[in-house]
Amino acid sequence: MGTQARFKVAGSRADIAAFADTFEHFCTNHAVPQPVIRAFQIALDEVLTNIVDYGEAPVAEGGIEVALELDPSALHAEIIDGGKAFDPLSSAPPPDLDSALEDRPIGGLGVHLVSTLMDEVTYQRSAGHNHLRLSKRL
Amino acid sequence: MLEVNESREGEVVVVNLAGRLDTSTATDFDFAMEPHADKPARILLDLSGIQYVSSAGLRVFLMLAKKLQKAQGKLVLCGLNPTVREVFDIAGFSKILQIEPDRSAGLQRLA
Repeated sequence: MGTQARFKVAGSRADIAAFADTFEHFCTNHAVPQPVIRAFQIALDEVLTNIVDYGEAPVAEGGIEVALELDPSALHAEIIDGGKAFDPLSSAPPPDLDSALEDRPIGGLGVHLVSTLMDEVTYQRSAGHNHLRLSKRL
Repeated sequence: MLEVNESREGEVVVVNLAGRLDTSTATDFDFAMEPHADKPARILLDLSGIQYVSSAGLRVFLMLAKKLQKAQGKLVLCGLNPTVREVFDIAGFSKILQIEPDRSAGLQRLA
């Protein structure tokens, strides 16, 4: 049996920063390896910031919920929000990783970072909520 | 949280960063670098105290590098931990930014 925990994240950037601490405590308490913690912190920063910046009224819908599940081989985080339907995986254009410094566009790297740092990312829309599930092997 | 400490080594401005570079701290970093960005400054960013960098942090590195290039300044980064290095590689930044393993190699590159 794995370890499970559920957290609420309200809709401000300060709440996202506070959740980074909460997440780190959960992980260090359960001996999750450092590189896995860091990769998740980056991915969660991207995903939660996107919901807060672009989601429609996720806070009015009871905030954002993050469900963590740690099993012997992997850590999973499911991010659930009641904003408008948004699949970050299919919405992002491919990033420009090759242009010279002066031509390189600012931004557009968030989704690419998340999908590369994680082993599995899946999106589902169900009962009026977005469910984004991130997994990484330990 | 993010700590920014600035010092000088001859002509080089050395900026030590410690903590996290994410959505909540990227603007602090941007603000701290602003006085140098439009000058032909030589800047060494020592990231050895940085735990991780998210895309909000990457955005500030890229804007700073672009501005310094335009102003004929020079930017070198050093002290990236394996996670930060991986993020720079994934983002394709390792090809456009000058990265050295440590502070003395960074200072040499700027000499």
